[in-house]
Amino acid sequence: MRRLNTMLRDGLFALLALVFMLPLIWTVIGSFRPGGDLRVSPWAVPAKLYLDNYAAAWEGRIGLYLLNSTFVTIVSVVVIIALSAPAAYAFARLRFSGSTATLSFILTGLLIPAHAVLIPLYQLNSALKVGDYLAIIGPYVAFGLPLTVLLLRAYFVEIPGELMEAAIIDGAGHLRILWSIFMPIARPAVATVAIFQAAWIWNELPFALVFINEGGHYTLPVGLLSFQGEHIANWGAILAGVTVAVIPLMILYLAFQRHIIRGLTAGALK
Amino acid sequence: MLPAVAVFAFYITYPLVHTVVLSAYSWSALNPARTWQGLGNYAELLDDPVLLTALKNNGWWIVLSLVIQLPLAMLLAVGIGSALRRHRILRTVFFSPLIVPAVAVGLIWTLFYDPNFGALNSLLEALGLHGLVGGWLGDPRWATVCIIAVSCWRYTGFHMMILLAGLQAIPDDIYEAARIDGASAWRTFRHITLPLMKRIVLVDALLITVGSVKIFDLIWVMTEGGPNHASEVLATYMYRSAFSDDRMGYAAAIATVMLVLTLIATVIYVRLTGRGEEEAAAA
Repeated sequence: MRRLNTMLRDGLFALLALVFMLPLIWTVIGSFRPGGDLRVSPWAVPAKLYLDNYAAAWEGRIGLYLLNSTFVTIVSVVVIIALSAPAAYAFARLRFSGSTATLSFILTGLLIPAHAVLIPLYQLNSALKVGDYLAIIGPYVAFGLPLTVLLLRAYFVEIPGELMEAAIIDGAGHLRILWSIFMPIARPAVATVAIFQAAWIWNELPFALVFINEGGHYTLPVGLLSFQGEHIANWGAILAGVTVAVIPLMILYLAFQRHIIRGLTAGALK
Repeated sequence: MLPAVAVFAFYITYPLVHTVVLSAYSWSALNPARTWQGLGNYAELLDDPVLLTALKNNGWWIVLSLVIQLPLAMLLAVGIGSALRRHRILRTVFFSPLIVPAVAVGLIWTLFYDPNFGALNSLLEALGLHGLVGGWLGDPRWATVCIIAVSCWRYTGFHMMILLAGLQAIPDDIYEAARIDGASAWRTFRHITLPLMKRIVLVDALLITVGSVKIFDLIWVMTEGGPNHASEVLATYMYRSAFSDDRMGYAAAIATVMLVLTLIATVIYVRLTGRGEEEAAAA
C-alpha cells in the first residue's frame, strides 16, 4: 500500500513536471522548424534541423540586444553590490541614531511598484538628456538596493564580533574590515543576491520600454518585443529569438542553483 | 551607507512623492505647460469605465493567483520535501519558468493560445474536445484568465521555493513525535505544518498580492490590455494613459491609486501577522 502510494505520488509529480516543461520544450523544438510548418501542425517533431530561424534572429539584432543586456546587467549589479555592502555593514555593525528608521525607509522599496515612479523619472531623464544606458541603470540600482541590503545585513549580523574587534585593534578602518573580512566570508550571500538582481534586471520591461530611445540600445525584453513586431507571422524566428534570450540565464541558473536556493532559504526566513 | 540612501531617495522616494503631486495637474509631453486640476483627475477616474475594468481585473489577479498558486505551491513543497532523492531535478523543473524573461514567456504563450494555428486549440482538437476550442486571448471573457494561467505557470515554482524554505526550518523531531503518536499525513499537515508555517505563508501571500497589483509585463506582451480593454489592469492603463494617450497627469493619478492599493495590502498583512512592519517588508 505504501509503495503504491509512493508510486502514485511520483507519477503525479512526473506528470506535473512534464506539463511545466512542455511550453519550454515546445519552444526549443519549434525554433528548429519552418514557421509555416509550425502553424500547420504545432506539435510535430521536425525530421531535420532547420536553422534559418536562428539566422533571422541574428539579423534581427538579437545578438546586439544580448550584448546590451549583458552590459546593463553587469554594471547595475556591480554598482548595487558596491553601494549595498557598506550600507549593510553599517546597519549590521554600527550603532547610530535612526538606524532602524533608515533601514525601514530603504525596505519600503521592496513593495513600491515601478509604475509609481515612471513619470517623474521619465521627465527627469528627458530634462537632463541622460543617455539610454544611464537612464535605466539608475532606477535598476535603486530598486536593487533594498533586497541586497536586507540579505547582506542578515548575513553580516551572523559574523562573530571578535573578528571585527581584532581588526579594529590592529588599526583597520571600517571599509578595510568590510572589504577584507566581511565580504570574503559573505561570498555565498553576495553570489545569491547578485544572481537575483541579475535575473530581475535581465527581465525588466517597463523602465526599458519607456527610457530607452534608440533601437540600437534596446535590452533583450524590449528587443524581443520589437523583433516580434517585425516577424509577426514567422513563428519559427520568434521562437529562435526567445530561445537565444533564455539560454544565458539558464546556464547561470544551473551553475549557481545551489547558491540560489540557499540564499532564498535564508532570505525567506529572516 | 549614505550613498545607498541617497540613490534610493533620488530614484524612488522623491519620484514617488512627485507622482502624487503631479497627479493634481494635467499636461502632456507635447505641451509641457501644467494646468492645476486639484482632484480633477481623480474625479474623472471615478467615472472612467476602463478604470473600473482595470480594478476588477486586478481583483481577479489577486484572488485567482492566491487561490491557485498558494495551494499548488504548498502541495509541491510538501511533496518535494518528502521525496528527497528526486528533489533537485523537480525543484529545477518547477523553478525554470521563472528564469525565462517575462517577455519571452508572453511570446511563447501567445503562440500557444493562437485561435487559428495555436498549439492549445490543436491539442484540444486532437483530444476530441471540440467544445473547448476557443479564441482565448482574443475573447474578452477569457483574456484575463488566460494570462493569469500563464502567470501561475511562471510563479508557482518561486512560491514553492519560499514555502520549501519554511518547511525545512521545521525541526524533524516534531514530525517524529507525530509519527509515533500515529497521526495521519493529513492531520500532521493540518496540525503541525500549517500552524508552524503561518507566518511564511502570510508573507508569501503578501508577495502574491502586491505582485498582482503591479502586474504589467505579461499583459502588455500578450494583449496590451485588449481586446478593447478587456484585460486592462492598473499598470497597463497607466502606461497607456502616459505614453500613448499622452495624458501624464491622469496617468500619475492611476499610479497613485496603485501605490495606495499596495499600501493597503501591506497594512492588512502586517496586521494579520501581528509583527512589525520591518519584518513583513523583509520578505
